[in-house]
Amino acid sequence: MSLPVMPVDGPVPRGDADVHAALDAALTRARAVAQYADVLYERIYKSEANLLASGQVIVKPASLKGAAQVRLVGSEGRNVGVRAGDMSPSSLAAVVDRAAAALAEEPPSPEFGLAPIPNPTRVRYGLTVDDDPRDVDPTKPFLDLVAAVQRIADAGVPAGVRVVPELWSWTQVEEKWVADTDGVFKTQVMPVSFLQVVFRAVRGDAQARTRVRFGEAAPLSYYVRDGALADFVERSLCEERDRAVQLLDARPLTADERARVTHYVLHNSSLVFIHEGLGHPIEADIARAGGSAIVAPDGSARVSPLGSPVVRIVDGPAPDEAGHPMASRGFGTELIDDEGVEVKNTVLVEGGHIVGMMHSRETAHRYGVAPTGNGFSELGDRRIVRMRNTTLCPAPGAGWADSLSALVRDVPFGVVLHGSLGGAVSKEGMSSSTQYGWLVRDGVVTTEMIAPGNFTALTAGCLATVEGFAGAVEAHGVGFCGKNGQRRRVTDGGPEYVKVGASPSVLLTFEG
Amino acid sequence: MHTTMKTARDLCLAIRDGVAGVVDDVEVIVSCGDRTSYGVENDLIIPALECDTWSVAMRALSQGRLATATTTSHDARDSIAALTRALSAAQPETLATFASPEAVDDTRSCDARLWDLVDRPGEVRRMAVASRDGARAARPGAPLVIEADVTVSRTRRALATKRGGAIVSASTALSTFVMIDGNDWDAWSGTARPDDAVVTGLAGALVSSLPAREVTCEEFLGGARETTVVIHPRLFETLLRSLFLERIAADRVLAKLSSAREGDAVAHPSFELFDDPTAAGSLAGGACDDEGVRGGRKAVVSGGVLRVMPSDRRSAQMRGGASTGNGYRIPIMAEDRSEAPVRVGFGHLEVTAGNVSRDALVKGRTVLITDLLGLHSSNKATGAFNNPIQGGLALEDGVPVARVKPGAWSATGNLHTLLRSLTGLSRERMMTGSALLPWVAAPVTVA
Repeated sequence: MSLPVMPVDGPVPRGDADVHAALDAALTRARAVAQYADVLYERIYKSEANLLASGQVIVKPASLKGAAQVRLVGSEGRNVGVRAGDMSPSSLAAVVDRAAAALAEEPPSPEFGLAPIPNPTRVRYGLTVDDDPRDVDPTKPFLDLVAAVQRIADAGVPAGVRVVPELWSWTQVEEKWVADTDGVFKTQVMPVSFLQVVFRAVRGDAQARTRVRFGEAAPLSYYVRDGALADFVERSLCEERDRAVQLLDARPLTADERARVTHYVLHNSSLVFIHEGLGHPIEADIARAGGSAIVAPDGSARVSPLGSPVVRIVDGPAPDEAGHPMASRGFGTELIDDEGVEVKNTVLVEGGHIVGMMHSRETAHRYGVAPTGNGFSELGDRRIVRMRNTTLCPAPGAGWADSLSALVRDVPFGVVLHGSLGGAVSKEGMSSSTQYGWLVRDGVVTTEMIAPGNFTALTAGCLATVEGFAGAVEAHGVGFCGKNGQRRRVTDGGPEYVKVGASPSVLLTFEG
Repeated sequence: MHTTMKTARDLCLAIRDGVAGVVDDVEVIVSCGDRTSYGVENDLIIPALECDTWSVAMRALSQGRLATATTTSHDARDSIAALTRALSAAQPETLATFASPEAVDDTRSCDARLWDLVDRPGEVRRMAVASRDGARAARPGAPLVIEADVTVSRTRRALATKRGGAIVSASTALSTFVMIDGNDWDAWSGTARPDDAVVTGLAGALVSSLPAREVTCEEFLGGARETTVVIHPRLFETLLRSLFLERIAADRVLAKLSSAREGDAVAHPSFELFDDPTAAGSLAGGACDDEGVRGGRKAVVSGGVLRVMPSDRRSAQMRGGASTGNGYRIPIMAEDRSEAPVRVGFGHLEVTAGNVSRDALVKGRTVLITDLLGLHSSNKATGAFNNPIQGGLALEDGVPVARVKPGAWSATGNLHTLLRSLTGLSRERMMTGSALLPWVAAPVTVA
């Protein structure tokens, strides 16, 4: 396993002097037409591999992407942003002209403003790695990954069953520059890697599938090194292959059983409801727009308490096993956001009450608070409030059990839910798929496997019946949030198991 | 328009010619887009503009191996360098050659008025404001939460291979969207500029059409039950593209993920599905697919029977036939389109209309399902879906009498069963922007 190093002063992005000069030129031009301007320039070097269901292998060692966002702020709060989808920073001057033309069409917006960038004089942020894909050909490790996944898919499968694997993996170095007309100039270099495997078990016309993902602010060697998978990857892939095969014989809960369920126990692979149902409604731009069921546009809680006293939710760097933030860990981790604001560990819910929101510079100004480092864009898009690693991090004490066995000891009839293929949020609630479950009878987890389902929660009430936790905290759920059409890498997570009492606010249904 | 088309063509050919001498075949797709968009968040009007968004997608064949690379650069040297580096990582490939398309300029899906509108942000802004104000005027004093968006865009695209092209196209698009109270929504999109009232009146028309009353499943139907529901054309399109394709696409069949064969009964005998990757005026139609193949209109399903399996060049070669022109770089999850592998996809879709009025599709109490929350997580392997209903109307004898209460309804079904069990197709059809589809009636379990 090879984790990156976070130097006190971050690494310098490649071609820094040329980009710096182009940004300076653009900002000089912007000063003539606006009271304030900032520029974000992002560049990604990506290496990628696919193993398709057909067996075709594709390796793409070099993809280059770049884009910029120029924001102008004029008199009386007029503002506009323009994306330039070109990796050449020299074109930024033309973008400033286009932004200026659009700015002239804007009416006054007196409430608009941008909170100051904290620590404005620090320039460099980032992580360094020893197997940067720009310098070290990733083809062999990718092919090692493919071979390992094919080997695992073929091993130990019962007669009459085929397991068809699909792999998608990438490693990339993300570089960004943020500069403004007040003299701020910040850069960041981040290595990020991702691995997804889908196992489809096929028996005659019957099919079942599982999906497992890994993502980290780390190089590819975090997952595969010297021809071998990291132990935790190997172990997890074998387990998900077996689950896919077992799912061929899984069953849904009957209507009668669903009515009898007293508890749902959510494994941290199925905690996407933390992101969808609790994270999004506490994003300040959604609250401001009236789109949150739990936070009013003025920032006050619509629901208080939101959850039982044991509930604590944070967004920021990924937590360690005890729930404390680790500055450089987590698939959703960055050290500065796309507005140059240093990423803060932000407590959203404490003791069951909403105590904070996630902010960009714009929403921080509106609510009169400091920005939290949640202003992100997808490669030069408009910067909006985005989550990073959003985790249920309960405080030590009441509610914790030593193990899953202890957690379910008083559960008469329940189900332990694992995995998700994604979720979605509406104003009132959220929906996420579940990949499989295990039935709990009379305080014991059985070997009766439950088929894929859909976990639905009403935001305002779903945390009220959280009763307890077991296992280490982990930002386990690796995903890509698609808010406003912009994809962003994120994680969700919490204790290994979270016990939720059945209530009208949570519902489990099954596929037809 | 023609000047910028030439720029895309020149870049495409420069990249192709830069690597053609060292590979057996090469395929280059260049696109460049501009976009002007204004979002509405109640009182806020939020501009989002884009200019010169370049993307370059490249594949090369060399000694039976495939190399792939992408960039966002309009400097040919960057793309040539990326593809050259990819040659060292090329993998065994069954595809023998790329297409050899004739050079052509295609402006069938380009509207000069929309092309120019991209450069007039103030006009787009006024449309967004008018849409928002229309919603408020439709229900004065009501505390509506309004989200909306008006986006106009233009794209230049060029595709060339070592032995053909360039196919160069210019296209435009306008899309507008409105959501009320985070649940009920409507949209319009197309390649030509519609009457402005279509855009500015969208939100007002939606608000006016919504009944004031909200009901739960328990209140309206007495609890969970299987019932014949009406499925909105936009949702029907999503189901066809995400679940039906998984069953009938040639690449899925070759991967043994589907046992479908031409001649299988896959739907009710009244069901006819046409696919046309080159349909003019459709957002899903173009001069060719992403492999340079100019597929035509074809009956995929007629009389409920699968007639043609859509294929790309690779799957067609493996089946010993010709591509149907359905090879697309279809992104899954967080892939970019230019980075995605070629997969089999649908072009413009069309389902033959029925002979029943939309209002007469169902009798008694049921629901019109507009959308399902989180449909992307439905089961592609089996065709099963099980999701909360987002947007939707409670119907009595086809007449909307209440809104489906947000968060209080779910729908469970299986698309393949649903297609075989269709009970009606409406006489009216909706152009969604990428498909022309009727409202359909079919049994679904709602809870």
